[in-house]
Amino acid sequence: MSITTGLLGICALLVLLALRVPVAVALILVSFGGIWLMLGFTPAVGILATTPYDFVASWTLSAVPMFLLMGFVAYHAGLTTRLFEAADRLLRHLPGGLGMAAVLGCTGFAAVCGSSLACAAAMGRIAIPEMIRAGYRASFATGALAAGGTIGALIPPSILMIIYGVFAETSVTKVFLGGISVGIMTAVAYCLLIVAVAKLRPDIVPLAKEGSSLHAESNPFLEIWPILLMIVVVFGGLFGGVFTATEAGAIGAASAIVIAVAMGRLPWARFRKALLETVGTTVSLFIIGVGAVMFTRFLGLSGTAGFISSTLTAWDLSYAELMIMIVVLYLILGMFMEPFGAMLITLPVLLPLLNAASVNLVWFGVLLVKLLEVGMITPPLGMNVFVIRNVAHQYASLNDIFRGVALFIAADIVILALLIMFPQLVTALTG
Amino acid sequence: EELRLAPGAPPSHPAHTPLYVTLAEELPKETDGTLTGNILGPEVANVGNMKGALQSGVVQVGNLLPLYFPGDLPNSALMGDLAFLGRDPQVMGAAMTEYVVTCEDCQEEFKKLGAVFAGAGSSDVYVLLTTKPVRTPDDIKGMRLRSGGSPFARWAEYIGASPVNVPVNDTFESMSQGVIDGTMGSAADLTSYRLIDLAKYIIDLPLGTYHATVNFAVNTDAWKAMSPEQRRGFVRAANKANIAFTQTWGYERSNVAREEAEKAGLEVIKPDQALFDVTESFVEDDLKAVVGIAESQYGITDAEAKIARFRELVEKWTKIIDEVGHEPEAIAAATQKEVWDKVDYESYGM
Amino acid sequence: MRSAALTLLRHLTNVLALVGALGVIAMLLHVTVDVISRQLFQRPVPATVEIVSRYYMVLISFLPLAWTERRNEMITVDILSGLFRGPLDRINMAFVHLLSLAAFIFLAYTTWSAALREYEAGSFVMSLSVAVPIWPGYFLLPLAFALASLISAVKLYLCLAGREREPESEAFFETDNGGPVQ
Ligand code: NA
Ligand code: NA
Repeated sequence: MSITTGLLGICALLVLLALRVPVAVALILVSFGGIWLMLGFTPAVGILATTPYDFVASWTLSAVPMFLLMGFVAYHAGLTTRLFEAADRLLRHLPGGLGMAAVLGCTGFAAVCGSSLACAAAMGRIAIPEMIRAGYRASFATGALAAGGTIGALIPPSILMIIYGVFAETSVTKVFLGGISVGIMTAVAYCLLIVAVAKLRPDIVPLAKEGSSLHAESNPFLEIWPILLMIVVVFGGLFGGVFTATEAGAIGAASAIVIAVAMGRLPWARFRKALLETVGTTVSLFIIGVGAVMFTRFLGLSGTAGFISSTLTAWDLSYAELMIMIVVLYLILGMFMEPFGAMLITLPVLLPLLNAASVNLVWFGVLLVKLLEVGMITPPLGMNVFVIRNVAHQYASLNDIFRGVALFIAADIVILALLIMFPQLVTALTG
Repeated sequence: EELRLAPGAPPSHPAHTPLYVTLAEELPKETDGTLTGNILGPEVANVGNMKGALQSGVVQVGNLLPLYFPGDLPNSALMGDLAFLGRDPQVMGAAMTEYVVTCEDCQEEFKKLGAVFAGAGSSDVYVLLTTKPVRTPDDIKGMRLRSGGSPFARWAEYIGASPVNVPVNDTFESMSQGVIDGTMGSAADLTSYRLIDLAKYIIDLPLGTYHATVNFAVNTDAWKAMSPEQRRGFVRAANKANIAFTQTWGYERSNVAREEAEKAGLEVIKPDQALFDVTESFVEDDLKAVVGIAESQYGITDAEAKIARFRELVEKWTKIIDEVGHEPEAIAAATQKEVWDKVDYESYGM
Repeated sequence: MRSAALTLLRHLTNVLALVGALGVIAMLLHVTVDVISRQLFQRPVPATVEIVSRYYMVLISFLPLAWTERRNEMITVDILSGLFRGPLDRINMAFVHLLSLAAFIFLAYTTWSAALREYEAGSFVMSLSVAVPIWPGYFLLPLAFALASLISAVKLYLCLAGREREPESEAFFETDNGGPVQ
């Protein structure tokens, strides 16, 4: 165990990030140096040699570029423009209607896609330009979508929940059921937040519009069929047992392309643009993923994360203290680790403790996934924020997005507090 | 010396408890405290990246599954194709262990990979876990079944089902979407992959064992750094752990899973004799196919003799375990005496 | 001369991106055909999972890395970027390029040795009862990382020579995605 090396590694990472070193490069170099210090040169080389391939050569991960392509094609072919107009008309009398439409869009999409990364990727490209055109401040619009994407892993299907169920030997179906309630709570909380901001700060979220802007004469409800068709294909196929959530990415992208071509809206130039944006986003995300997995291995080998969790759990804590400790623990780990690694490292320490405190493991799984998803939007390593940065770099810098996400993290903390104080919010559904 | 041990699986999996936990407990006892172990979690090494982790020395003792790396370990992986010979897990674990220790080509492969073989184990006898009832050969025709390896895929094709290639972590989702109607696997998968939430039937048709395992692959440098006495001690500890593992994975786990399944309302179906018969005839026909596979796909020479040798060992251990019984201590004593005490610890794995 | 070299590199990396784009299309078609064929004809396309994960994914995720690096699209956390002005900015950027170069060279070297090992072992996986060779995919990584180090080296050179604001360098860093689309 080399806890000091682990802590030094975290410091070195922060310094390199502050010096504008690309996130992936910083993660890779710190992990390499740290493992070299702890175990010697050959193991460090071994981690560099095998992690990039092992991380990327994954069937499950293949859904991410496919969902990205679906989002980019839908955007460039203009399939989605009218969807938001329709939502806008429906929600017009409410302040922040478009923002709420975006969050509800994420929620609907969450029901077909298993990871928050894919969800943010697909919805971000569609919603952000519309919101900014309607006068939303860029940081808030991008923050809303980065946070909205996390609903993707809360509402089933959810890869994180499946892995938790397997690890904790508890019912995945029940965790899924609990996820529905937390996913809806999150969506509602985000909507309330958007309404509140619209009321208090019309400079950030524009208040309800007077008349409609562009297509006042046409009825947007008649023109949103392409996107509805896409949703029908993806949902129908998933619930009809035709394909899995991983395959749904490819099917979704294929149906977006077919619909766009049939409507004559996908000339080669647009398709090329959508493809290149897909490639660029995939590359810059996955290289960070590689770095994050290396850093997780480094922290795992150093014993730091295990040390932190076992130290905290060694204190004789009351139930309330235990829960606060767990929330703080995952908020800290979520800053630096990818969610799967954070879960794998901590559960062996926490599960016995939770069993001793007779905590309901279904409820805890739901809480844990929510906590890990908050980690997806906290700096410095916030994968959802990185996706949004890639799909909306012309509107907002990474800083802007992290600033925009802050309010949504505050809303998440309220939800976490509610979950802990009223476990029945989850257990009422799961039994 | 503290060794870095990697079961490649979470604590709930038998590869962690009892396999690696037993090794970590027994290691200091068998080596006068000169060797100890520190168990690493799957976030450091999992079964998919175990080869690289072992070769680089990140992991010094790891759970290496030959079927994940058939290019490196063709001779060990080939025994996985004989899954349908498996009727008793402890027999298969012991036969696999003796086979690899005494097979020169296998030892050569391990040397090239940079690891030393220290014992195998076995799963329980696989069954069908399905969402639809299966009683007759007709029931199974056209069913989409997840296959955990090529012998199971060949059986599915032989019997008229359509084998589907689903990564193990996607089994739950594929079954819940209805993309597959069932899986060929351990009854323990009901609890360990939570299939108990989805499957409705356990079809009690013996489909063989998963025994192409290398429970302990020791990094060659770490092995060479040990004294012959330490190696002997390491293997004694590993042997106990291997038997405990097979006891858990091969019997206890699946029994517990079956009890839970019955509580959850799953129905156990004993299929018609016709299904047993067609499976019997598959086993004989398939042995011939395996020779071809060994030569064309694994690039193995002399496959017929190797398969015969393995069958011989299965018979030998069936007799031994008939005599000593199923007490883990008795089996551990038998494998220690029949296999590990005959190894020369000056030269083995060097 | 220098301008010609920069143009050549720019075109080369653009080709990498197009190959990546072809990989995306191939993956889309392969999975879609697999699903359709499985549902309609009970005949899935053999080895879909293996080919998607071992070939398309590796191709899409790594090969266009040099293209991303050329366009400065590697994600950075720019919290303190206000502090870096004038000469400090140049020093900082040189440091960043140097570290990126180091990381990509390390990765090119280590993944090359891994690829050789897989090649020697003739690595394959079994998909149902078909052997799918997987060693070729490993060679995409050293290729991708070597090209990315080349780009980092060029960026380091331009930065040290103080030329990163010159028109030929600006042209080198261009991020055009194939013409304006409204
Ligand atoms: Na979801
Ligand atoms: Na974070």
